[in-house]
Formats: sequence, C-alpha cells, structure tokens
Amino acid sequence: MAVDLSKHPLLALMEDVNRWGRSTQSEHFWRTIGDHLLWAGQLRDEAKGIIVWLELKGLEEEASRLDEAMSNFREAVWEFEDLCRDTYPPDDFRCRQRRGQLIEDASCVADVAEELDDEVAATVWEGYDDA
Amino acid sequence: MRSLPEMVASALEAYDEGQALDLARSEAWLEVRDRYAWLSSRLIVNGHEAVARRVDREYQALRDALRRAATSPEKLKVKDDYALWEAATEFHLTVKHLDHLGGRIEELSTVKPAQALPSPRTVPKRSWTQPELDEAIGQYKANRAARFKEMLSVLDNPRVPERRKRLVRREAHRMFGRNAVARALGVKSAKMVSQSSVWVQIADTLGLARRRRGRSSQPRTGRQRLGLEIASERASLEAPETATHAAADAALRREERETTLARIRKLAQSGRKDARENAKALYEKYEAGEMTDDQARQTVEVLLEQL
Repeated sequence: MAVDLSKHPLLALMEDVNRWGRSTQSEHFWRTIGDHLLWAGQLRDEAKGIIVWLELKGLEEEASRLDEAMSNFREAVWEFEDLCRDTYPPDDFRCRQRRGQLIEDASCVADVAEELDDEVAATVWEGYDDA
Repeated sequence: MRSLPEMVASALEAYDEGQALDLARSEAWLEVRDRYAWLSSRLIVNGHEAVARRVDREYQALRDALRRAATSPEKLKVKDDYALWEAATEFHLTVKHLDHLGGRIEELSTVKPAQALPSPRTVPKRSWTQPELDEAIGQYKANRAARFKEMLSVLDNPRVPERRKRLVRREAHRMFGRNAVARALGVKSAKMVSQSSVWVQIADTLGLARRRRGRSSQPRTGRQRLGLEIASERASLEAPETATHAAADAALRREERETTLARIRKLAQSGRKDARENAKALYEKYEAGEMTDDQARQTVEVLLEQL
C-alpha cells in the first residue's frame, strides 16, 4: 500500500534526498552543479522545518540525530563548492571524489530520516502540514 | 514591522555589500538582537526549552562568527566564510520556520498562564532604623553586584563613547537612584535613603546626581564625574530631539526590553513552583503593553521572593 507522504514528512525528506542523490550520480550533474547546490539548500530547509517541529514536540534527541546527519551533509556541500569553484569539475579527480562524499552523506541523511519515521509516532505530525 | 528572518537576511545582505563590516555592532544587528530576545523569551515561557536552546545556540554561533569575520584581515563574503555561512543559514532557517509556525508556538505549549499576578508594588512600606536601612541597601547592592561592576567599568573607561555612557547612567539611576532604592525596599521616607552613607557611596561611585546642601563649595572627589563629562551629559539631555537622540532613545528602549525579557526568562527558568506559569502571564501582559518595564521587573522580583 502506498504511503501518504503528506503524513510522513520524514519519508518525504528521505525521498527528496534520495532523488537528489540519484541525480547527483548522473553525468548530467556536471552540467547542473549550480542547480544541484540550490536543491541541496532546499533539502536543508525542509530538514530544518522537521527538526524545529520535533523539538517543539519535545523530541529533542530525535531532532538532534537528523540535525547531525544534516550537518555532515551541509559541510560536504560547502567543501564541494569550495573545492570545485575554480576548476572544470568533470576533469578534476578531487571533485569527482568529493561528489562521492556528497552522495554518501546524502544517503546517511536518508537513512536517518527513514529510521526516525519508524520511531516517531504518527500523531506527532498532526498539524504539521497546517503550519 | 519586519519579521526576524527578514531582518537577518537584510543585515547579512548589508554585510555582503560592505555597508557594515562590523555587523555585530551595527544598527541592523541591534534590531535582530532585539527580536531574538523576544523570540527566545516566547519559547521559554511556553516551555519549548529545546527550541529555545537551539535559537540561543545558533544566535551565539552567528554572533561569534560575525565577530571573527569583523576582526579578520580577510574581508570575505558570507558565502565564502564557512563558519559565517553555516551559522547565518542555520539561524535564518530556524527563525524562518518559527515565524512560519506563528501561533503554533502557543498552541503546542503545555504551560497555562497564571490567572493572577501579584501587584508590582506589593513591597510593603515599613519603618526602618538608619543602621537597618544601611545594611539593606548594602544587600541590595550585593544582589546586583555583577551589573554594578559592569556599569562602573563602562563609566570609568575613557574609550567608551559618551552615548553609551549616557545609557548606562540612566540605567544606574533606575537601579540605584534614591527613589528606586526606596521603592524596592519599601522605605516610607525616601529621605532616609539620601541620608544613608551606603547609598551616598553608591551614588558617588556611579556619579548619580544627588541634592546636597552647599554643593558648590564641596570638595570634589576623583569619583565625582563633574566637569566636561557631566556637562556634556546635561547638554545632551536638554538638547532638542535629534536623529542622534532618537537613535540613542531607541537603543535605550531596546536595552530596557532586553533586560526585562532576561528577568522574565530568569523567572521562567528558576525551577520554582508555578514559575513558568507566572512568567508566561507576565510575558503576555508585557508584550500586550499592559505593563511597563519597571512594573514587569518589580513583579519578577516579588515573584522570586514569594515562590
């Protein structure tokens, strides 16, 4: 049975992060780096909304797990951008390596989001969409 | 009024355009600090400690990053300075989501505001003997020793701008002025405070103006800041309203609010019975403009003594 993602913001985040990760793995990525970085910023925004909500609901520990995974992802995004700014990334070995780190950190975020969705009671999300 | 996320975004844009390299001390940042104090207090009185800690942590991280950037020889833009970019984005996103949640902060709160608050003027007036009063004033000062020391360090520092000293002198008057002390201690006759050697010493140390007989013939001590400094203060107080004064007054109001909100937060976090409920009721009244800064602070004092 299909899951209603509007009632599972963590699964929606997992899906979005996985979609970003898949897109980043394609060769198309090298022509659209700027778009991917903006997209990563949107994922950060989406995750922050969930983190703040979890904390308002008193789930500080759960919020902190997602926050930590996002922190690693954010750092990887910034390091990638910093390293590859003045290069032609597809030909730069270090940039290709760094892309691998980006994908790995994004995958960790997706894993944490999925785990938390299992752990957090569905009632926590009541009213989340109305905000 | 602009929202806090808008203020943060516009302050950071100004920073990037080189309008305020030392953003942490700019007018734009003072506005952000003011709104942050409101938000942090609102979260605490509503029992959202975890989010309040996040907002505080992220605000401090941003302030520290701004200070480091301001003193760094490299004048990097926000997106080129990882610490600053990270701190700015995190704080901005958090306040943006909280702004978006709006009234949800109250709806998700389990704290019910207290039905009744004590009157801020419940310190009963009583008769004092002069030695008792001297001792009580000494205790009053001891309870505010940290702030007293801070004020003195500002007033004694020749490098601190006069505008800042003016604000601190006003605060000193509000905290240690004759009538403020008489009111706080419930002294029937404020004249007794004037006659207290302990209070006279405080007033002289802080340079508080006090009425004295034969003042012109009195020898001046080193602590009495007469002369150019006092003259300039008097001139500035008497001068017509100017843009500078308006800015100074706005800064004073901000400082007042921040101090009051800090007192309400202290009450909420005191861990005493019903403290949070009282703090919430107090915060709501203060925010609605039903209480002045002075009344709110006095009420906190009364509650902290009672609870």
